[in-house]
Amino acid sequence: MVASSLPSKEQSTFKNILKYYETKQYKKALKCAESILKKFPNHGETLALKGLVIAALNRKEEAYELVRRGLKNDLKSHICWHVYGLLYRGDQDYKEAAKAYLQALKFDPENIQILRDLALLQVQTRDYDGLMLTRRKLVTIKPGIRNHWLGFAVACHLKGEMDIAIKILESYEGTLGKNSDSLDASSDKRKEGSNQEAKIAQMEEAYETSETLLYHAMILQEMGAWKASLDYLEKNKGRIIDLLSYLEFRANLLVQLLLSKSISTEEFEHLYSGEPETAILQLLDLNPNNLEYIRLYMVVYSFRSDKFLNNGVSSFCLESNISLEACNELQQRYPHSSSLERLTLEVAIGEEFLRRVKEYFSRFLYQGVPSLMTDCKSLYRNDTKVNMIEQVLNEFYHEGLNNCKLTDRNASKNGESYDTQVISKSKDLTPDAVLWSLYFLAQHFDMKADTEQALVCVNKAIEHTPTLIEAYSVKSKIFKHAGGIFQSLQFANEARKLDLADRYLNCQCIQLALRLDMIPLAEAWMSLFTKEEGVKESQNIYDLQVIWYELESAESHFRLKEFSKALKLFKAVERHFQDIIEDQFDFHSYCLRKATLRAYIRVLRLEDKLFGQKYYLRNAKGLVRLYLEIFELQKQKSNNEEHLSLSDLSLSEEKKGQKSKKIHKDDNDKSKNSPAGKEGNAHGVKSTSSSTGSGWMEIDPNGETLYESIRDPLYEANKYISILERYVGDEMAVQTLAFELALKEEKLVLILKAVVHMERIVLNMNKVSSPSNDDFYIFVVKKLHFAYFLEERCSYLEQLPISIISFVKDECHRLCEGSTFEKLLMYYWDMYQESLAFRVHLAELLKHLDMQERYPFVIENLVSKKQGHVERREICERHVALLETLGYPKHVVDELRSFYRNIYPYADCFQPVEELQSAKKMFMEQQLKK
Amino acid sequence: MLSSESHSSWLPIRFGNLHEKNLEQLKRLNLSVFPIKYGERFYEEVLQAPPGLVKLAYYHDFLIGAYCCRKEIGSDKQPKIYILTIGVLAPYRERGVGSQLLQQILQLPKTERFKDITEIYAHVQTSNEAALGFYQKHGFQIGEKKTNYYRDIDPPDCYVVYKKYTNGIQKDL
Repeated sequence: MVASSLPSKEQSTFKNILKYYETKQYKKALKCAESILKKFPNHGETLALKGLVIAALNRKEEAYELVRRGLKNDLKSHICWHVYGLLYRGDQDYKEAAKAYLQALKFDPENIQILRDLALLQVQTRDYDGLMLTRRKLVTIKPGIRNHWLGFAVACHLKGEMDIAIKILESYEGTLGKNSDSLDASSDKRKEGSNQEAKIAQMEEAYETSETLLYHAMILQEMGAWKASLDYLEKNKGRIIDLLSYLEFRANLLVQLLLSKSISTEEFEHLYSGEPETAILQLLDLNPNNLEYIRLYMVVYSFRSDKFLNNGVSSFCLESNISLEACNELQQRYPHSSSLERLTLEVAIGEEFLRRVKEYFSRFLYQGVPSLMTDCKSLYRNDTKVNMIEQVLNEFYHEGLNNCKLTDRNASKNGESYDTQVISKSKDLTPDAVLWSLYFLAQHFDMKADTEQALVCVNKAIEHTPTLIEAYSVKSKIFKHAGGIFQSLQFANEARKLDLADRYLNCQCIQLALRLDMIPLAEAWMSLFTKEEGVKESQNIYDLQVIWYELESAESHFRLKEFSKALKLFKAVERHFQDIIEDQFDFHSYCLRKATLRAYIRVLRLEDKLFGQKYYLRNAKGLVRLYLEIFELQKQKSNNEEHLSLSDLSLSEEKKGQKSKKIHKDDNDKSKNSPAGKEGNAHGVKSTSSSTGSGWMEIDPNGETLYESIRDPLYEANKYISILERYVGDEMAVQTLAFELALKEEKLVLILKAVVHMERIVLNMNKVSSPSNDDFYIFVVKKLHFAYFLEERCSYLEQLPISIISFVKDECHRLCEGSTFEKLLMYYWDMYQESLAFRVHLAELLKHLDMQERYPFVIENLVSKKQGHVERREICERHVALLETLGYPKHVVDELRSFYRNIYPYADCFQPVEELQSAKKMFMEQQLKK
Repeated sequence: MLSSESHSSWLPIRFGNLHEKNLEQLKRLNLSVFPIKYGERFYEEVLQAPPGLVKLAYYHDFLIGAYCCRKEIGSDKQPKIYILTIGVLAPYRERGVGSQLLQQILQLPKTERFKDITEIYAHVQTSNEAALGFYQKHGFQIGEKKTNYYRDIDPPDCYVVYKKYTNGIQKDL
């Protein structure tokens, strides 16, 4: 960088600023800048650089101000724009940074450094159009640099311009051969250094070449050019070092080509007779437990035997193509592959299954492998298999019993000696065979939701070996699945106490404690495994990104209506995910340098799907629910305030009120411009400037400031709803949230959209009116709610833009069947009143609309317990809660509770409230004392 | 002594040490094995015991047996090892676990720390023939009978079983 329009003495001082900045001597850099500014107070580039130094000293706001002043004085300086971009980049605002860089390039179009930086920003923000332009420019300006070629190829690949990407790689590979002279020259130079170093460098280079070649083949594969990719691999075989990747690649390509219609079977046989099988077996020889290899084998096998199900996507899936014959064939070749053994259980049926499952289970049983049932979960979709599993486990149990006839203490007490006489010891059955069969039986019955039997078995197991920690964990799980969270916690705690050094057991307890809203206990247990306590501890947890804990804790605080703390924790989880997005930044340059492009592309694709992760989505749902609550609270508050201002505010004060409202509006606009997820950030910047060095959790640990800074909760909720819609739009829970949000926003079209989406979900379920189908009744009741809204706000319909009005009207008419709320309600009541789920959802709606008195039959019906079948526990729980909110007398609610307790004897929600409460309280106090 | 035949049916076990984190396992074991409930003072003592005096026996990954000893000075002013408890969970008995545990105790006088030991002894309820047989098998002698030794169990009497040592070597009888 050379500063324009400065005398030579200042020119050199200016260069010193840069030098000091790069070596992190910020104080000196600042001095230099100030000495120039003394003489030339309006020199733009110096102002900008001073801003950069100030930013490095963490005085962000001052920095922006300086750079903006610099820009004002020198709008045409690429230095000023570059620095402006750097500031934004430092704050992770990549879109703004990219804009500034593009400005800088206007005044210095061939600046390599700025172009490279810009490319990084563009790939980070997935601006592939811009990226291609930038990358093309870099190759044109400096074609001698390898990374420029690879970078351009990657840009084209990402943009979907596969042909161009291939052409670039081809011409790049062309230069590889030519460069071999210069490579030799450089390696000559290296020889002067140590021989070892030269060798390493050579190996690295060879690896990078190999990766580039495989990347080339990968693009060909993605284009569907399987034959070309195969030919390419064959041609370059000698230069590919990663042999396993080569073999996997080749096997995949052969299978894809075999299945594709791009080549006739005869032609394929002519070219590659028998090669797919050979390639796959070669891989299986290396690892017969790799399910991916087995999958390929199955696909080819079913194709060859004309049983191949060519139905698009699933044609490649393992389950649809796995056959017993193929499994048998492979098992003969690989008798020790446990993956194969397990896979066979999926397809074997009848006697065959029985025999195999026995064989498979026996190994786990004799070796005491506790994970057997987790491994076999998928078999429980088939009832016949479930019965056979039960039979096998029972056999094991009795066999075990017969083998080691138990001589328990009572027997010996009764004078029977427990000397050697009765015990016939078989050498292959160890005494724990009984234990493990009981242990597996307990899990088996738990899987079948047979709580009673499961408990019988697990209790026997505990009696047999009271020191087996896993048995207590299983007991805890059984209670948990039966809804008895408190009992579950008690047995999880038994397990925890048996090994206080086990983090997993500790975490199990913490999770259950949080589900029970015993936050102090959860925190106490958490601190057993973190070093710090108090605020520092939560910072420690935040730094370690313990997502599950922060999420469970947030949900618990939400239930307790501690909204600011809940917000803080939900936001913490959100920030972890933002950090993961952020973490890829360094790889944009690193992977190009190391030429690990295949892995790089995989990382980018993974990051693109990051928000589809289970935990992120759960967190997003939590945030939406929270923002909806906050909206209600704010509305109530402002209603109250309005009430006040109307009654006794003077005129001047009212003016002030208007002013502050205007400020609010500005804030809104600002936050609307910022990209999703940045809202918390802007806040963070502010606080770091005031107290440097302390962590995000230490500042505003209870989230009060964060909570106060929310201007437009519905806008925030919308950000997360749109992410949820993108990944799990077909979940009823998501559409229900979308519906509620749209209702609060009073946006007719969005409400309609949510209801229509629900209708689609319900139609896809195929078993529409099956009585246990909760989703269906949710849809029906939301439809009623929608009809009500339409009637109340019929003017909304007329205010719609003309372009959509007739479409929307038609849809509304179709949904409501041209009827009124009341008529619809009566119609559905006649149809579905037998269903408890429907009655509960409907009553909830009426309560929400404050109309319970208008339709007394709905409410009266709630107390009658007539039930054709056993309802799901969740519905029964809602039923009880509903009676409570409707203000039924205590004895009525308690009666219902005890009625349900007969059906679900272990569930917390049906236990006598006071007893459970005091038991929980006592337990918590006891634990905290220790 | 033990025959080689019974060795082959021995359960393979692994020895472990007692510490605060797994104390509860020993409690569970003892609760299931012995008719007497040991109190907090007992566990405080064994937790503090020097290495070797307390050992846990693990089969696969779970506890099936343990012994707890105490080093004491007898009325004859001689240092002795007193076996407080030695026990194996019922289903795992007759598999050499107890023998392997007792072997560990019998090794103690050979170590530097316990070379001054003159006797290893224990109390056995008079009705517990299995235990008496067990000790005898391992070269213990049956000594005096103490009447009304136990408070809460019947019969309340016990025998003292013992084995004498000099300089870490068992005394020939």
